[in-house]
Amino acid sequence: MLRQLFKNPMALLCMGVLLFTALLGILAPWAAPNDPYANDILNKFAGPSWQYPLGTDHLGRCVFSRMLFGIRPTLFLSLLTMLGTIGLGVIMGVAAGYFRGVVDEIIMRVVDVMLSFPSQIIILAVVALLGVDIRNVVVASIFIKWAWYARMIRTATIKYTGMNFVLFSRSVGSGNFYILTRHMLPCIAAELAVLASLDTGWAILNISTLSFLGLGVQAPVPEWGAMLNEAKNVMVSNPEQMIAPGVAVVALVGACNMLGDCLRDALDPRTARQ
Amino acid sequence: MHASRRNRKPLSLRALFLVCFMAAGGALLPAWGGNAAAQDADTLRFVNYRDVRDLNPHLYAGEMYAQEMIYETLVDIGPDGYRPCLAESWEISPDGRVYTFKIRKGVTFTDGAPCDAYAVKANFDAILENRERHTWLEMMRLLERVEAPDAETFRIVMSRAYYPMLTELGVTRPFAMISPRAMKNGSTRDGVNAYIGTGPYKLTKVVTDEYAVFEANENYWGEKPKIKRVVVKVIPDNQTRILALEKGEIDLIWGKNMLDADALNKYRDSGEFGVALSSPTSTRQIVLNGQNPVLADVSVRRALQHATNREAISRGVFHGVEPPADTLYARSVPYCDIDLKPYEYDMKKAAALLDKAGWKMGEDGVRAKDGLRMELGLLYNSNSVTEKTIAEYLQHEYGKLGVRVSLRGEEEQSYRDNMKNGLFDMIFNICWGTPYDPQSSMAAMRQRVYGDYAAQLALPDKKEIDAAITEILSSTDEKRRRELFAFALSHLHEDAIYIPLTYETNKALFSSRLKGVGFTQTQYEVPFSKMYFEGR
Amino acid sequence: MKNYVIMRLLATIPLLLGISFLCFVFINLIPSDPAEVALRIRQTPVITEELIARTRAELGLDQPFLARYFHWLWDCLHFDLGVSYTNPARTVLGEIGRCLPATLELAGLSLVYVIALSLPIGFLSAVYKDSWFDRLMRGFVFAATAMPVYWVGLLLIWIVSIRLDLLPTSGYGGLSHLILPAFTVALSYISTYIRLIRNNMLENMREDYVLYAQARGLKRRAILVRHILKNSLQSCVTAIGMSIPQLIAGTIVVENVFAWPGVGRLCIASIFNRDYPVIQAYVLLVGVLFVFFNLAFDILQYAADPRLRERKA
Repeated sequence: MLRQLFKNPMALLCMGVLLFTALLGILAPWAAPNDPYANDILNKFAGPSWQYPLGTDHLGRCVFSRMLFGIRPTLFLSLLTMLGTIGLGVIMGVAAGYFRGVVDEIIMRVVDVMLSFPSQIIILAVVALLGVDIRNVVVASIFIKWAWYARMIRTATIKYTGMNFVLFSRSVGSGNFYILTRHMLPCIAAELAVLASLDTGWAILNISTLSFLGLGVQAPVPEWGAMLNEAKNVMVSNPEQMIAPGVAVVALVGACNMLGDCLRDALDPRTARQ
Repeated sequence: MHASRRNRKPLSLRALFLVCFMAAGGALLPAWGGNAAAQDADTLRFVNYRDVRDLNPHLYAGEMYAQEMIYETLVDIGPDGYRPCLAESWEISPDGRVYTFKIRKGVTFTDGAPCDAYAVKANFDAILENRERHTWLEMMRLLERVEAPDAETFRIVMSRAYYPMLTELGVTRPFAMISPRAMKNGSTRDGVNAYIGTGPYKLTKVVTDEYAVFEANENYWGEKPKIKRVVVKVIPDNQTRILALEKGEIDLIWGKNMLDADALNKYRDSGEFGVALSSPTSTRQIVLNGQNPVLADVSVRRALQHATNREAISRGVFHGVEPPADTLYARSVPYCDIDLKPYEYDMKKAAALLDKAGWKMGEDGVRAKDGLRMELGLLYNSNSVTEKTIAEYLQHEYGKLGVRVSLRGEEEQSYRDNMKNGLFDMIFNICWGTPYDPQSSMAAMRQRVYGDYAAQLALPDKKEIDAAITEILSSTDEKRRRELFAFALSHLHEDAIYIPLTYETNKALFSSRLKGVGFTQTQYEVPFSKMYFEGR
Repeated sequence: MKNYVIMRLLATIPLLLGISFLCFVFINLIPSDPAEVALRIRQTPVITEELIARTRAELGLDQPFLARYFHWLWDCLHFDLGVSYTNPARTVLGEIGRCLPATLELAGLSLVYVIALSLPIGFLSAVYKDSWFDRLMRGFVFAATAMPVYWVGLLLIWIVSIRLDLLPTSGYGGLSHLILPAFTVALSYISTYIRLIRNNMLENMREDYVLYAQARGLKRRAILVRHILKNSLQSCVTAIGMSIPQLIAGTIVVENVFAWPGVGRLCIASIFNRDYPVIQAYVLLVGVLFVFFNLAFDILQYAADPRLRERKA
C-alpha cells in the first residue's frame, strides 16, 4: 500500500506541502523576518515590502511572520486533536469489538448519543461550559470525534476477530493484550490512516473556525482563523488582509483531504478506478 | 408650522397608511433592503449596535438615545447653562435646600394624560420607591421629600445643599417623565406598561433585534422636528454598519463607539458622506486596581503611566480623531483647569522606576519582586470597536517593560459587572463625561458604583480624597469648591490610578444629503430635532 | 412494516433520554451556583448566604440529582425551558422561537440549493466522466471541501456585495438578503452530494441490470434516467434528509458572518454572555431534531426499498 502511495505524484505533493508547512512552523522563530508580536501602530496596513513581505496588519505587525507562527496552533493543535481522538477511539472501539457483551453495549449506546449531535454543536457547548480557550476546543473536539472512530474500529475489530490468524493466536494461548496490540492494531491501521488524514483537515477547519468566532485562540497569539477575524473588521477599507490566511487554510486542508483520498485509493483499488 | 396644519387630516391618514403599510409589508419592505424601499422625504434611517431594549426611563436597561427621544426632564442642559424644559422656571431657596419648579402648562403625554405637577410627583414617587438603585447619583441620598401643592407647582426638599442638583435632574436617567398611566400601580420598579413620554418622538414599532420606528409627536409643545420618522436598524457589526451606509441602506451613523477611525478617515475627504466630530465628551482611560498586589505599588502604576504612548494611540489608532489625554479630566471640564504635570512617555524612566522599586527583570522577560511576577490582566469591552486594538498595542508595549499582560474581552453587560465588582487588574473605562464630570462621577467614586471604588480602595489617601469630595458637593462657596477639586484631582493624579489615553469624541458619518448633524451637551442625545434632508 | 416502525420508535426513547440527560448534566456543570444566578436575575441588591440557601430550597436544588433531572425533563416536555440569564424578561422558549424562523428560512433555501445544484451536476459528471466538465466539477468539489465556510462567506460579501454591489451585505430581510448566506451554507453540502451522486451513478452503471437493459436494446438516455439515476437517488435522498438537521446546525458560522438573526447567532451570543439555559436549549433542540430526522428518513427508506423489508423478514 505504501509503495503504491509513493508512486502517486499527487500524494507526494500533498505530503510535501504538509511536511514543508510543519517545518516552517517548527522553524518559525528563525524563518520569520520579524517578531510576530512587535507592533508599529503608526505603520499599520502597510503594503508588501522587503521588511514586511506580506505587509502589516491593523497594529502594524508583520503579516508574514504572523502567518508562519500561525502554523503552530493551526497544524500542531489539529495533529494533537487527531492523536487524542484516535487514542480514545481505538481504546473504546477495540474494547467494544473485542470483549463484546456489556462493555460493547454501554460503549455503543454512548456512541449513539454522541453521534446524535452535530459535532459543531457539542464543541460549542463544551467551550461554553469550560470557558473560551483553545485548550477547551481541543478537548471538545476529542470528546465528540472519538465516537466515530470507536464505531469504525469496533466493526473492523469484529471482522478480524473471527479470522483464522487471530483464532490461531488465541488457541496457542496468547493473552488478550498481545492479540490486541500485535494482531488487531496493524490490521486496522490502514483504515485508520485514511480516516485520520481526512479528519486532520476537518480539525484544521474546526480550530480556525472557532478562532474566527472568537472562541478559540485568543489575541494576540497569531492564528489563521483569528487573523481572518481581525481582517473581517477592516473588510471595507483593507480587504487584502483576508487573502493570505484564507489561502493558507485552503492549501493545508486541501493537502490533507487529497492525501486522505490518495490513501484510500491505495488501500482500495476498486474506488481508484473511478 | 402652517404646512402641517393645512395637512393635518391627510397627514394623520398618511401616518395611518404608513403604519398599515409597515405592518402588512413588514416582511416585504426590508426584503429588498434600503435600495428598493420607498424613500420618504422625512424618514431618517438611523443605526444602533443593539436593540432599544427596555425603555423604562426610571431604570437603566434601555438605549439612552431612544430615551432621549421619547422622554423629557424638568430642566435641560444647554451650552450656556440650564434651560427650561418641562419646568418653565424655578426658584432655589437661599440655603440651597428647597427647589420650587413652575411646571409648563398644557403639556401632555402622547397618551393624552396631562404632564402637570401631579404627574411629575407620581414620577418622583416611583423613582424614590427604588431609591437604592439610583444612589449612584448623590442627590438621591440627600433628597428628603417631594410635593405638588397644586397642578403647576412642584417642590423638592433636600436635607442639605447640593450644587450639582439641577445637572442631575437634567440627565435622562432616572429623572425623565413617563405617563402615570403607563406605570404599574404607580410603580416603575418592575417595569412599565408602555413607553409614553412628552418628547418630540414616540415609539411606534419595535421588532426585537431588527429595527425600531419612532414617529414625530404631533402634539409636541416645543419646536416640532422636521424629520417625521426615525427608523433605527440594529446592526451589531462595525463594518456592516459602514457598508449599509455606503449602500444607502441607512442615512446616519452616530455615536462614540459606532465607528472606527480607519473608516472615518477614509470618508473624511469624500464628498459623498459627511463627517462630524464633537468636542471631547469624556476621557478614555485604563483604571488600575490598587488592590492588586502588583499594582498596589505606586511605582508600578507610575511606570505604566510613563510606558503609555498616548500620542501613538491618538495618531495610530484614531488618526488624530481623538486627541491624547494627559489627565483624568480635560482642562475644559469645569473645575479641572489645574496645573498637573503629565506623565510623559519615557520608557527609560519607566524601567528605572521599576528597577528602583525592586522589580527585577526575570529570564523570561517578566519582572518579579519577592516571587511576585508582574502578570496583569487587561479587561476590555468587546462591543467597543477600538478597545481591543489599543489593548493589543499596550500589551506589547508593556511587554517590553517586563510586564506580561493578558487580554480578556467581555460583552458590555458582563464587562460592567466585572468593573463594578472590582474583578479586574486593569480595565478600560470611560469617565462619565458631560455633564456628569467632574462632580457626579467623583461623587460616585466614594461608593461601589463603578470600578473607581475598588480601584481606589487601597490608596493610602483614599479617606482624604473622599472627604474632599463630600465637602465639595455640599459647599455653596465657589472658591472653596475649586480648592477642594484641585486637592482631590491632584491626589488622584499623583496616585496614578488612572492611565488617561485619549479624549473621546462623538463621531458621526452620514449621507451628504442629511444636514444639521451635530452634538449637544448630553453626550447620548442624538439631536434628531435639528436634522433635515436637503432637496428632498 | 408496522413492527419496524414501532421498533424504531421505541429505540429512540433511550436515545432521547440520553440526549436530555447530557443536556441536563451540562447545565449542572456550570461554574456558577444556579441559586446565586437566580438571585442576580431578580436583581436582589444584597446576596447573603442565608438567602442563597433559601433560594436553593425554593428552586428544589437541595433535592437529589436524579429527582431534579426528572423534574427538569417534565418541564421540558411542557415546553418550559426556563428564562434567559441575561434578560430575565425573556423566556428561553420565546428566544428560540423568535430566532428559529430565520434559521429555518436559511436552512430551507440552502436545501433548495443543495438539491437544485448537486443533482444535475452529479448526474452530468457521472455521464460525461473525465470530460472537461467533470474535471472542472471535481476541482470545484475539492476546493469547496477545503475552504473554511466563514472565509467563503467573507469572500462572497466582498466580491458580490462590495465590489459588484449586487446583493445586500448582511442582515435580515427577504430573498435578496438570503441568497448569499444560503449559498454559503449549502456549498460544502453541494460538494458532498455531487460526489455522492456521481459515485453512486458510476457504481450503478457497472451493475448487471444495466448490462441487461442494454441487451434489451433500451436507449442510453432511458437507461441513465429511468434506471441508474432512479437507483442512485434513493440513498441520496436519505442522506440529504438526514443532513437537514446538520444544515440547521451548520448555519451557526454563516449566521455570524452575515449577521443573520437566527438561533446560531443567538447561541454564540449566549456563549459570550454565559447565558447557559439558552445554550442548553439550543443543544437539546438540535439533538432532538437529529434523532427525529434520522428516524423519519430511516422509516422512509425502509418503506421505499423492498429489499430492506425482505431482509428483515
